[in-house]
Amino acid sequence: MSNAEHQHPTFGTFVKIGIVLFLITILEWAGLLINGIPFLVKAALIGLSVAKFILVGGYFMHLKWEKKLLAWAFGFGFVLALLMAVTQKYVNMATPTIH
Amino acid sequence: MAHDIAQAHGHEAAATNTGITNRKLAFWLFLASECVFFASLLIGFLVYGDKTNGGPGMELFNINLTTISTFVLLMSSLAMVLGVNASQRGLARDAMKWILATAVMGQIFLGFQVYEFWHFVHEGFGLTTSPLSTAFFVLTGFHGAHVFVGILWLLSLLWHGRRGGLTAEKSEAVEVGGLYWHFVDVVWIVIFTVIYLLPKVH
Repeated sequence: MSNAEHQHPTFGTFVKIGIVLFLITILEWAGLLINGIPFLVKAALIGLSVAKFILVGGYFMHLKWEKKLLAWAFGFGFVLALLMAVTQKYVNMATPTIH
Repeated sequence: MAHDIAQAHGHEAAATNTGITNRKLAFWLFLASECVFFASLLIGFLVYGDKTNGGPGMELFNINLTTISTFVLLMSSLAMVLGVNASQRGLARDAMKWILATAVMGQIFLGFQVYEFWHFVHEGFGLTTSPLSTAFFVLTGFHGAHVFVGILWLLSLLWHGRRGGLTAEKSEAVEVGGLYWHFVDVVWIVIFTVIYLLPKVH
């Protein structure tokens, strides 16, 4: 087992991550105040959401320090979920509209 | 040696080929299956997002309120990880306090959700009003149900540690409970972005 897998982060590390998550949430809220560049704002919001996801998964769920098998197991489910969401977009485009 | 290190960090040495305890591996696989479950509900929302049957739509969503509830849930995740950390370090009483704080914040989040649902229903946006409203209530309702189960789980951990606190020997039980709580948080990160933030961009 690698050394990294034994090193638990400190209380301070978690608090710093918590502060970053708080700041990202404020940024997301502030992003909605920007008008006129929807494509850029949407891309930024998705990027910030991905950053929050990685911070919670990596640090709070300890995936950064755990054995890679766990990340692969979770990643498999997540990628499958993502593929389902992407697929529906194209299937939905090809099906009749329900009112 | 490995056993000593594991004990020093509050883990039981795992007697498995993977080096991961069966409980933890099984729970991660369960979380992977939950990803697919929530994706199915989210897809329902994406498909029916613009089908309001002439009733109210996403203009009802209050982004300020939801940002605050999102912040509360994120901070509950911070409290949870501090509880797990304290338990692994043998700070049994501190672990109890952090987990109690997590449960309280979880209840505050649910309070926000109940208020939001109540407000929506009074505005004519009920469970069966439109395909959009059904997809919204089913998705966020199932998430809320997961939060509720998480609160019960946290309370059971507090009961488990009522004598002597959540000691290092109990840290894996705390860690698995923490994984569930963080997962609920991660799901909300996606829901918050897809349902509340992106449709509000102009």
